[in-house]
Amino acid sequence: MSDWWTVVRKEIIEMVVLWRGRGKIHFLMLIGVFGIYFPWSIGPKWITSPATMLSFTWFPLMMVTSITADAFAGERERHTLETLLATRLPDHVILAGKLSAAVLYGLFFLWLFVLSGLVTVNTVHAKGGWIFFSRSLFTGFVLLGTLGALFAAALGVIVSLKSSTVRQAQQTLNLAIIGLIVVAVGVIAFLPDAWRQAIGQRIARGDSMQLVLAGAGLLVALDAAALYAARRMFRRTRLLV
Amino acid sequence: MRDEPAIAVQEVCRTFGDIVALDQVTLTIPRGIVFGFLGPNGAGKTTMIRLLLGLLEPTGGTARVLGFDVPQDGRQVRERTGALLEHAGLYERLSARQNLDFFARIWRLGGAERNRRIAELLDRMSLLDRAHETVGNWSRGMKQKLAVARALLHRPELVFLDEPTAGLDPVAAAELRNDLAELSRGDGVTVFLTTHNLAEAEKLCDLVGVIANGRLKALGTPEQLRSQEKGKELTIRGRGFDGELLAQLQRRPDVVEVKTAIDGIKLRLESDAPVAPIVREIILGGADVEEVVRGKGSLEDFFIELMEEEA
Repeated sequence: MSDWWTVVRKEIIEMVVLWRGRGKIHFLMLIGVFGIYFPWSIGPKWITSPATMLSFTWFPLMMVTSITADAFAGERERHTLETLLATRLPDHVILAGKLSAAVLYGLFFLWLFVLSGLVTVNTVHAKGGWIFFSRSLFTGFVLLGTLGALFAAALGVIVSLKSSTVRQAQQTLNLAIIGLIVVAVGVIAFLPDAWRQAIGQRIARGDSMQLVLAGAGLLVALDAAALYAARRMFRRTRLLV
Repeated sequence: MRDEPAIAVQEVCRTFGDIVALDQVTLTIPRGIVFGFLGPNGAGKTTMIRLLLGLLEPTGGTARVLGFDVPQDGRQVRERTGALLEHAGLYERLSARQNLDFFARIWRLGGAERNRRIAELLDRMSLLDRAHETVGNWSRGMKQKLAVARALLHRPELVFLDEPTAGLDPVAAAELRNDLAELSRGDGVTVFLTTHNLAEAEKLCDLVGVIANGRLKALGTPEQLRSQEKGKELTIRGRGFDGELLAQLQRRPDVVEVKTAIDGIKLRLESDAPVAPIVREIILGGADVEEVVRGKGSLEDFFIELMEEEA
């Protein structure tokens, strides 16, 4: 546990150093756009519509993949990975520490945007009493956000270990995420009309707990497969060949 | 296990596709000495260090470090060793202190001990007043010193140092050499270092191995290797060494090679050749001889000779 935390702690310190430097303006712009501007302009629907959940659970995926590319392909490119591998830390601890830090990074931004959006909508459009997400939407944020971030991190490891530079890893990962979106849209397009209508009605009613759970089940399977592949690939005797 | 040598490799091989990086290397390094691993670029030095740290698996042979079988007990080996690899491998966005703190936590140094050890090493490397600077902006020499400090942080029994003095200024390099000698002689730590600086290896190392094209070409103390050098060197300083005289010397059966230098000539002689007749011939040939120095031979001469044979 303490070894795992040592790796997570170092990754977090590096992220903070990165944001504290030239990333400060970038950080404020992200909060401004996703945490204030969109919720402000969309209004209460931003809280009640499942579209918010669907779009926001995709967002951390992009954040997580960029940080994973830096943590694996970047470390290899900067020759720090070899030094880390020459320490007493077991492979799985290094992998778990770096994956956890990337997931935490994605979730930090997800919840930062969600909370600042909630505050913005309730402050600007308040009509007596606070409005909050429905139970299914909130569950969706928690489950799909976390599982999605974990999938993105594991995918990030796989791609990063096959890439020689951070840039190559990031480009491949961006293409992979776009590919996943295209596949998801494609699958929906090929569903029978009756199914599509039923899903649409459920989403419109905000009664989407079963869909959230189904999505979570699919993500658990994808996570398990991606983590297994990442674990198999991340072996020190294979990494420097 | 304490009785076993620091490193014992037996007919170790490592290939990368068709490339043979290590070819049947057999080597035993006792504990508590400084071992110098010499060889040209691409000879297999870094591959050997990676293999001994369990970062690569051998394709043949056996490797034991501090009594542990490396492919089997790699973690036990890494618990007890420190390493400065080919690159300094520092986190350039972090400060010197943050870099050492991360590795000190990896080696499980407790809070007070961690802070004390970090301060001690930064002080020893003359980096204490720059401890909070981001290392990305540092010179190569400073990074190298910090990387050496990182390798020594947890007081390992065995340290692998791949070109530790590369990029250091002469004063810092000399200080580091003294530190390494002290580490070995005072604390009983075994030091395995690779270097291109043969004078450094000669001064510092108790045992030297020379590798070329993945094969161990020579192994012995610097003294033993120097004595294997074929012939002896004679430096003659003065003026008037014209072409005819040089050609005359070259024709002598006891002269192997004649080279001109800025302030005279250098001769390589057969090992049993007497010097006096040669000097007499030079004087009779019209040269003004000011000084005659009989060379003892150096590790560098031996190394170059070995590499020329290899080529």
